[in-house]
Amino acid sequence: MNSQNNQPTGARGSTASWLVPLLTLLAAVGFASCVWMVFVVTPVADVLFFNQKIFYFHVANAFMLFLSVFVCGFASVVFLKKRDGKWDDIAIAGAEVAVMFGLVVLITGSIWAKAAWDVWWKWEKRLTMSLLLWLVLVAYVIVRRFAGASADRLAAGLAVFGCVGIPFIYFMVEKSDNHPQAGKEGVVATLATDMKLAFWGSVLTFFFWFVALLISRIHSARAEREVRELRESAMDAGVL
Amino acid sequence: MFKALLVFLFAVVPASAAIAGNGSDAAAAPTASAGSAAAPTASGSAAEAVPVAQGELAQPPQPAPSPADLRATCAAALNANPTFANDLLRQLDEKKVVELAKAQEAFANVQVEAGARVAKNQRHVIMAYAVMWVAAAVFVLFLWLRQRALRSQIDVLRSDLAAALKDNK
Repeated sequence: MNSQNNQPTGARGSTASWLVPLLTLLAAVGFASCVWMVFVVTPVADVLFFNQKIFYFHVANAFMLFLSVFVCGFASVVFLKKRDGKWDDIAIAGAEVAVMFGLVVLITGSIWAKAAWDVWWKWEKRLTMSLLLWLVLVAYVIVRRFAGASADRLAAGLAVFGCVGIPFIYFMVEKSDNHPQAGKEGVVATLATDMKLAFWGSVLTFFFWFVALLISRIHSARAEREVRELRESAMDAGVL
Repeated sequence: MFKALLVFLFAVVPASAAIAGNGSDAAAAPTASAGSAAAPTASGSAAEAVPVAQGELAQPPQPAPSPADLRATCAAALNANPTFANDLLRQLDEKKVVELAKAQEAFANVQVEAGARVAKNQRHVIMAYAVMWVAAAVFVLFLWLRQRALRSQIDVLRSDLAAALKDNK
């Protein structure tokens, strides 16, 4: 056990102790502003009508899902190369945050589908790929919990696999039959100025929220690692 | 209002058509009987069909009556006979007409309701927002509980280790 690990978790979490509340505050203010923008300022869309209000947060959550998976995949690759526990902490934090954002994306998307298409689910390309990505992330979390000693390396491989799927999901929309289009002539590009402001404000808000959750979860992962190391030390000392 | 519409549909429009048809037939008839070289043209104009005798000037073509004129003529004919409209209505199966009107009204109402529901679909939007924040709240609660449990485990392990080291000394 190195000297750094003997420090109390509060000392190592000093950055988190001020950064997480600050980011949460920014996210809260941003969210209140976005709700006002979305429901008061932005006009009702021509085709999707009031249902389109789901879009501002659904897409922002989807962006954060992609970002979380990317963080998880990148940290996993670095972990596999360096075998440094810090990167593993970031990877597991990214995976769990991605599971949360992915769940929100899938459920809000399903609710939108019910409102727009009158079905809860459609086996459309992008929806199916998103579900598969989410299942890969759930598999990552399950492996970390139950796969034993080599769980970190197994899970890292899964994370890389999930990360590779992001571009497929993002560009899949071009080939998709039903999903609202993104891209140059898609939904985001054709938004009115008020709508664009609300949308990008929402993305920024959820970015603050994503970073706050990621830092908190990294802090928690470090604490878990510290518990494991303290247990090993206690067993060596004959305490356990 | 409805009666007036029916009268217009079943009486005025066919009557207008009949008047227009009779006019051209009447104009075309002399041409056929006269066997003149001035046969009616493809346009079927009444004036073109009038035979031209030698040494006489052709009559200028008479303009066809406009729909408004025809309508006025029919309205005048109907007004002149107040029982005519009622006679027409009596010939219709009134029950079927009322049922049809009701069905049309119900269909229109369904369309209006569906349009309003889609335009102001607050239920699904609220559901989506609720899911988003419930998921975030559950995740934060899960993080907080785990962090608290980890802190207490770390404190216990630290104190146990410190005690063990003290005993060894």
